Amino acid sequence: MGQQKTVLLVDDEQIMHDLARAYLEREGFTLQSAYTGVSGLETIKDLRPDIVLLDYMLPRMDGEQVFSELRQNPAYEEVRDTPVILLTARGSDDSLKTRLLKQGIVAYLQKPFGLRELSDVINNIITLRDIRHSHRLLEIEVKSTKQHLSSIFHNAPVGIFSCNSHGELLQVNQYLLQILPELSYENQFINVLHNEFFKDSFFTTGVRYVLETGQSWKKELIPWASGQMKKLILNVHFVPIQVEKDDREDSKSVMGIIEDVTEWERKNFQLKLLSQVSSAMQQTMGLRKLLHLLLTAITAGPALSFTRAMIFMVDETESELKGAMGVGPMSSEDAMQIWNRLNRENLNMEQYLFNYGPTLPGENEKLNLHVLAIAIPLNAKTELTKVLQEKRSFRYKIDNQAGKNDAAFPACLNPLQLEDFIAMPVVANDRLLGVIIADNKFGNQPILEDRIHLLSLIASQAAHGIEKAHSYEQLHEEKQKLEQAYDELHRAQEKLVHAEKLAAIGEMAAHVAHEIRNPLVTIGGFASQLQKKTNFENNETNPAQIIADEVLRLEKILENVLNFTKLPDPEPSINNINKLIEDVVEQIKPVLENSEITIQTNLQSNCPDQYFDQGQLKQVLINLLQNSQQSFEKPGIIRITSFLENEIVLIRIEDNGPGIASDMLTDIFNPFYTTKKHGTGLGLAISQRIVHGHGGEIRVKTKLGQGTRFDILLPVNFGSGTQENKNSVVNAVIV
Amino acid sequence: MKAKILLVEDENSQRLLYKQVLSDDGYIVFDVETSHQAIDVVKEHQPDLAILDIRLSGEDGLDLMGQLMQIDKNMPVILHSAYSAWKDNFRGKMADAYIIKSSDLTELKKTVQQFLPRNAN
Repeated sequence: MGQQKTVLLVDDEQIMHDLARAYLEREGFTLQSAYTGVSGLETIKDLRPDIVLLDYMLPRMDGEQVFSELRQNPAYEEVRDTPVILLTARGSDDSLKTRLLKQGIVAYLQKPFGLRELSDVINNIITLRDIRHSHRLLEIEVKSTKQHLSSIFHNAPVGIFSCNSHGELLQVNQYLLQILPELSYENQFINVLHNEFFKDSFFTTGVRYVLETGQSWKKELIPWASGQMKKLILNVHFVPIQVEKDDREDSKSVMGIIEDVTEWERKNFQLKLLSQVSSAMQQTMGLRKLLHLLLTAITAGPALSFTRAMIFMVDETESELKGAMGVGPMSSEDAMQIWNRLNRENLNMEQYLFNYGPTLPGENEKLNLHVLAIAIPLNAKTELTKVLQEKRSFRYKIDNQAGKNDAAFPACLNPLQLEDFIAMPVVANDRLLGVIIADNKFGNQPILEDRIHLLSLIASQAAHGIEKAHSYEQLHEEKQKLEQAYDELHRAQEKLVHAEKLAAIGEMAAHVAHEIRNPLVTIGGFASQLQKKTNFENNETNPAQIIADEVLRLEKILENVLNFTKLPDPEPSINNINKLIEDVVEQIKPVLENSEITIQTNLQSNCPDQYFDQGQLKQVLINLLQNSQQSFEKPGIIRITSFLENEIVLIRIEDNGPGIASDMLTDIFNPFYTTKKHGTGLGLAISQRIVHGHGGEIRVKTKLGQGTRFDILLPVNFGSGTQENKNSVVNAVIV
Repeated sequence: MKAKILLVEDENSQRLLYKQVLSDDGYIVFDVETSHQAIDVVKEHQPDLAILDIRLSGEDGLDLMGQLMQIDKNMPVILHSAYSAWKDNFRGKMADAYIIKSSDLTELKKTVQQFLPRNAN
């Protein structure tokens, strides 16, 4: 007891005061004195003694009255509990003692009493009072601590609950009730183990695990859709606790902490999304895959909380803004289905973005089909083209009832059911690429400003990716063109090599021909002279004549060689192929008849007048007819047919001669190739080049022992235009 | 009086051939090998016709034709060549005739007769 305790003695006898003071002050108390009941009450009120010694026998107002006044008069409310010891000299009156003790007197001392007894009683009472006091303080503290804890419990920024071994919730804090309002039904906590809504959820799984194993249960980033379609990401931690109770001493129960990390995860997701979209855009990929990745990034997961995204691309050749792709639901049933599927698959961002199969999902989904059907002329004055021209995003809210058939939103957009959406331009290096539309249709969350900002970041990343994909596709096209050009070049080179070979042969042939020609002239000339000067009998052949004839033949061969090497360009004029055939047949008929060969013609009158070099084609016909005639070893038939088909005049020369062996067939058009004793091997080569020179073709079909068929195909339009129509192959070969 | 023909041909055997053929046809033939000799003949004998080979060894028959025409512009000139290439050459066209060499001498003889009809048999 630290400070001095004060004791008030209320007694009308001075001697009691003197005795008590002498003794109690020695014991460490301070004594205050009052001599009547009234002054005693006043003193209690004013000085607030720690204890009161009250004499029963007081004038006018006895001790019992004073005590009752102290206890009941509101004037003394503040000191009402002051402990009072009653002093009495009235012998041992047990009924009074009992009555007074019942009224709250703390002790009852009968005079005469020893002073030692008095101080013991006083000390006991003071101790008791101190204990009571500290008890009261403790109670107050407990109460306030309880309030404090309860306030912490309910205001904690995490969800906290506890439940007993039957799954009955004991405590659920306010925060948790906000996240999971389903934990309470009609102001009663539910039983989590027997509730339809939480059936098979993380909640029941966790509680059951903790109860069964006694171990704690922890799980992070659980996606959760509450009853209002609000998407949440939760971290949960359930632990076993022991609750001591009177009836069941070690009843198992569970406490859980549930944290809503949606916002945190959203930020995390946004960062990841940006970095992944950005790295994806660095890769080279096809445009369609890239667009799909972009739209998936906008709609997937909690980063942007858009449910639908569509992209429209600028088509520069058509001057249109064309729907390219759309991702997202077309109805709330769709939305539910998609969201459930994603929840079930529980994919992370990378999986969302990169793990779709060979066919892009959503390709045949309704929204995509609607988007693909949209085309808006770039010069139309619509809101979408405005977004593109002003290169900034707009937020639109359309009243669907009123806004229809509005020029700003053309009717082709109606199937998209746009209401509240963002339209964002896709621009790379000042090049307008397209417009992204994103909205939150069928989702319950508003479009927030920071999401729009993120969307614009992604759009700008995408723009560069799209630009790159464009260039990549162009590059691919260029590459294909180059490859094609290379192939053509390669073929041309092969032709040229072939032509050069021919040219070299031709040049050599020309040179040799000239060198041989000069001596031939002399030989033949002198032979003729000799023939004139030598007389032989009429029937005898002059040898000089034979020399002259043979020389003449040699000279003809040389002429052919020379003609081949410098075959001139055709000089086309208007002619008719049937007329030419008739002329040639007329000319060659006597020769054929000598060889007992019949010639038949079947010339269709539909062969039009056309441009060709009459001299050259005449040579071709004569060459082919001569070849045919010379191949016969016995009488035969040559048939000449002509007709027009698909702007091509076809001249067919077929015979029933011996035919050509198939292994020789590849060589017959080569110069200097011949099977004849006296052939130059140039007839067919020249013929082919003449026909090529007319832009045509010569084909051969033969069967050994049955005959040969040559087809000359001449395009009707040859030479009707400019010189360029002529086939350049011939020109390249001419020396 | 027999007509005179200048024959310029650098190849001996051919020169001999043409000389024989033309002499047989009753012409006086001055046969020479070179341009130089040809000019001398024209100056000295004033032939009625010249037959020139174009490819003379080291010389050009077309050049020679030009020189001869300056001396006697009335003298007809026949170009006689194994090549048809000069036929369409503008200088080749200045000649009165262009004959491609052949062992068949009919064309040569016919052409000479056209220019010198007096000697026609």
